Amino acid sequence: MEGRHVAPSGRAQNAHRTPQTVRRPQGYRPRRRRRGGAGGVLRLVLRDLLLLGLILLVFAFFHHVLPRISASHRSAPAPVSLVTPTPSQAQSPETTPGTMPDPDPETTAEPTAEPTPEPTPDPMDWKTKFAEYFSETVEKGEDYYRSPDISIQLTKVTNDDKIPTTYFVADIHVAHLENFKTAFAGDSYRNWAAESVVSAAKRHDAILCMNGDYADAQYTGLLVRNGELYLSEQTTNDICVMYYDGTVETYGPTEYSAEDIIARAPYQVWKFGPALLDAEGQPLTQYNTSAEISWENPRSGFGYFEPGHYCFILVDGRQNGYSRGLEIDRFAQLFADLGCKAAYNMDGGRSSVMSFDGEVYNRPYLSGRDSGDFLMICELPTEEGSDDAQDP
Amino acid sequence: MRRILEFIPHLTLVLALGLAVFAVLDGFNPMMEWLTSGISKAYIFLLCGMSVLTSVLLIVEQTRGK
Repeated sequence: MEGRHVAPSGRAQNAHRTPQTVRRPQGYRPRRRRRGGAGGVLRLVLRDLLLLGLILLVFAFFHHVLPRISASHRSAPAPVSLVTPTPSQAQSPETTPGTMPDPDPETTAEPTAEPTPEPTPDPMDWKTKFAEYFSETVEKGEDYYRSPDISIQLTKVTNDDKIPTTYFVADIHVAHLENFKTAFAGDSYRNWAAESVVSAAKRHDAILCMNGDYADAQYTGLLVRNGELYLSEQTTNDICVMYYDGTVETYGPTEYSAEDIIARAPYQVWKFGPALLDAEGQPLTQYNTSAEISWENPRSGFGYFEPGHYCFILVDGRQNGYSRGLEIDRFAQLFADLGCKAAYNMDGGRSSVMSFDGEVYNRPYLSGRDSGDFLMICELPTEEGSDDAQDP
Repeated sequence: MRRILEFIPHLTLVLALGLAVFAVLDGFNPMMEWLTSGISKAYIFLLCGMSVLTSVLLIVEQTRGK
């Protein structure tokens, strides 16, 4: 018995136990304590998720917040007036859709001589051309507006297919290019402001107003609004250009150079997209956008028939039983069916809002949201500053 | 040093998950330039660097194990 250690039992006896007295069987290896087991893995995952959140926050700071802070300290890109919109200049160009212009800005700014000797109707005399659409006094109803300079006819279309779709077509005739204008929220670019369509429409006395391409949210590209150049960079998006002769053309990213477009002194350039129709006015087969954007969505779009004749189409969506929205190809088909020569997709989803006579006209998804810029149809301002219809 | 080496695979994993988030967001709103802005390009470059580092560490460990 001597030399044999009898293992004591009980807490009191354990207190006397020392490491020297503990004998372990031969080959005994203490079990390594596992690091928390399942709890440890969970802790590891949580730690990584926290790290992911932290990285996303840091990214968001550099991607969204810092540019805004620096933009607010830095003055917004000073707009460069490309051309003064006078009727004589507006009547000048002999632009042919699809042809690139003379890159010399001087030649494009100057009026060119009429090539045909025969007395032909002035292509810019939209007042005569669309006289049947205009009225001598302002007439307006729930779905129309007519004045000496503007004609707007709104149509609500509901497809009672398996998947219901509701959209609104605004058929627009204007006597002057300046009846068609755009505006930024808060009336300045890069102020990071957002404004409701109705608020912007009321501020500008716009009869018809639709959300635009949310140019504020895009840091690069080619941007011209009401004849003023804000950005002059090439972009990977399709662009839509409205010239002072009232023509509208869309270009893919490889089909234009920003310099050439600027040289033609455009009136408006949008940079959201995609373009919807080809040169023959048929829907494109491929669209320069992501698959997610191509899905059924509420949509806003702008269509061009001829100088002075345009349309806005707004598709409601994401509302079961009322309207699911349209895929991009079906949206393009709408413009093609109407006979548009060019059409362009604007910001959609919850942003898709159209106002008519100061009221929201469509049924926006989740009541819509504020936008950064707008397309508007307005009367020309009178000398007194009021916006009554007048013949300038 | 050992702690830093242990942390590198986690950082690579998290960066990769973050890039997946940006790719999804970019699908819904490419105008926000989730993958094409300057900071996004720097992020992708960082992920590439971390991936290379993680791979090298793993290869070294595998070689030692043999």
